[in-house]
Amino acid sequence: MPSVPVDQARIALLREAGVSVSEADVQRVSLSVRSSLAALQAAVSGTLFDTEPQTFDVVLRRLSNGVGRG
Amino acid sequence: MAEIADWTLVDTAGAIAARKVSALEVTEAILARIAKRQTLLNAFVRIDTDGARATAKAADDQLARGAAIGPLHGVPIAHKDMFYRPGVPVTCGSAIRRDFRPDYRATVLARLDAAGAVELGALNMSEFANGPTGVNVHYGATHNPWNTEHMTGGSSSGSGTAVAGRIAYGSLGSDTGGSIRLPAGVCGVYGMKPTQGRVSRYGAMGLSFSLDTIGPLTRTVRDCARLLKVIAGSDPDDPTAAMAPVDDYEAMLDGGIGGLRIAVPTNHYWDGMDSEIGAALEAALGTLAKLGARVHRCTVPYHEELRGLGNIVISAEFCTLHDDWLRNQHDDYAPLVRARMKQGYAFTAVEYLKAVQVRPRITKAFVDEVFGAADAVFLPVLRFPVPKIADVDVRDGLHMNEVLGSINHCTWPINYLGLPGLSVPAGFSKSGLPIGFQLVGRPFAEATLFRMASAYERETGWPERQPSLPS
Repeated sequence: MPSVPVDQARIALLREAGVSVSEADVQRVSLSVRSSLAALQAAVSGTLFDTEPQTFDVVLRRLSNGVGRG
Repeated sequence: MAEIADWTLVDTAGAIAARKVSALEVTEAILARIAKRQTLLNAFVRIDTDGARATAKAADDQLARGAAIGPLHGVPIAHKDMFYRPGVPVTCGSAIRRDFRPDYRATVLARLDAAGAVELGALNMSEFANGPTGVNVHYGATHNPWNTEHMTGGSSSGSGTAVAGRIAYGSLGSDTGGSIRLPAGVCGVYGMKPTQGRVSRYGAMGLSFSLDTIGPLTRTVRDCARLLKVIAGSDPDDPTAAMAPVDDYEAMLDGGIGGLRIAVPTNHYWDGMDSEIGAALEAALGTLAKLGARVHRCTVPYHEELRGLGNIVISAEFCTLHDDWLRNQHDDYAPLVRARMKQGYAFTAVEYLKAVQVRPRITKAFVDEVFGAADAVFLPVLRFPVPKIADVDVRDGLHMNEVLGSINHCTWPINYLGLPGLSVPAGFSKSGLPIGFQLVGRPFAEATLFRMASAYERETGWPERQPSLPS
């Protein structure tokens, strides 16, 4: 069975959500999805499997390093 | 002697506390200014003349009784129209919420009230804080006080133009992709996007619950430091508000910047830089170096990833919040806003959660790599002169993403990282429009950024310059 191109699959998601979709929407969403997913892939490649449980606020506090205080 | 409305926020608070002028006199001076400038700037969507006078009168009575007063006692300020107060309309810049009246009070407003501030009313903004230009199809575009044909930046558009146009001593905005730093930089004032969690978001309209921040816009660094100190801190009503203690920012302004290290990225943020803007930014770096900062060039990581990751998080969270309205009140949104929102439906739950899950790791890697050798990163606000409103009013045209993306190119990546960023005025173009830079710091290093900006401000005096507007 031939696979549906990612862009078209995402437009289908939008339509299934019950949101009206114009031709301009199709173009914008396709571009946005393509660039964002490429960025996501680059960011997470090989790293997520070992991601330990943490919350963002705790990470920020640890990274603050006391700078700016006192 | 300068007119009352031209005083700084801190000087005004000092004069009221010393009873050199009454809060009512100050409020009347500002209201008179608003009457002359509002039509030009379109900064306010609601002006509470009676409420401001009543609060000012009460402030004067309190002072006369010898009661303790707060650090903003009697000082008129205003806020982006997205902070809740019981019974008071909050439009969020939208048609959908034109008649919305919340039944509770935002923590930041409660803190401003406790500090004695006089609320002038609510400021114009991009619809649901979405859009970096200041164009709003429901309430009209805001106008730049330095040239009213030009954009103010957004989404805290009224907050930028009101302060630069000297019709409020300070204002509050929100920043999810640059919405404080852009209007501040474009209007020639200071704007602090604090560390994620530094300021409570309870009672503030949400755009992206992971990336939204609230912060001040002011004419001077000291004003900005005072306002942030008032609104920052933990909040039992907002579990995402940070528990970290709040620094005494004002007390740390005058320490000098000798030896502080400033990193200047040579990649991404300088791509396509206009020559005039680039020269102004180099001059600013020269001034910082002359003041003792150690400036070095570097490359910064992840800029492409940060744009894409931020896009996934913001658009997915934005359309999550608006899903019901988008289906049922589709035509009540501006075309640009609904077009941006729809992009959020195109990401799967797995992709969204990946973008959220990898955030701490990327932030740690960025901070370790960049801030191991720097106390702040120096970035442009805009890479080109402030555009005309007509040139950025793209509605939902095919080039919408390209135009909006070029405006928030330098501000957008910082929100995903959760880092603090301060927009600093750096002079004017030949055409008389403001130029600005950002100082970005480690988490909770707002005091360091204020200190750098304060040294630069003392040296250059940019906030002294006034736009040509009716007085």
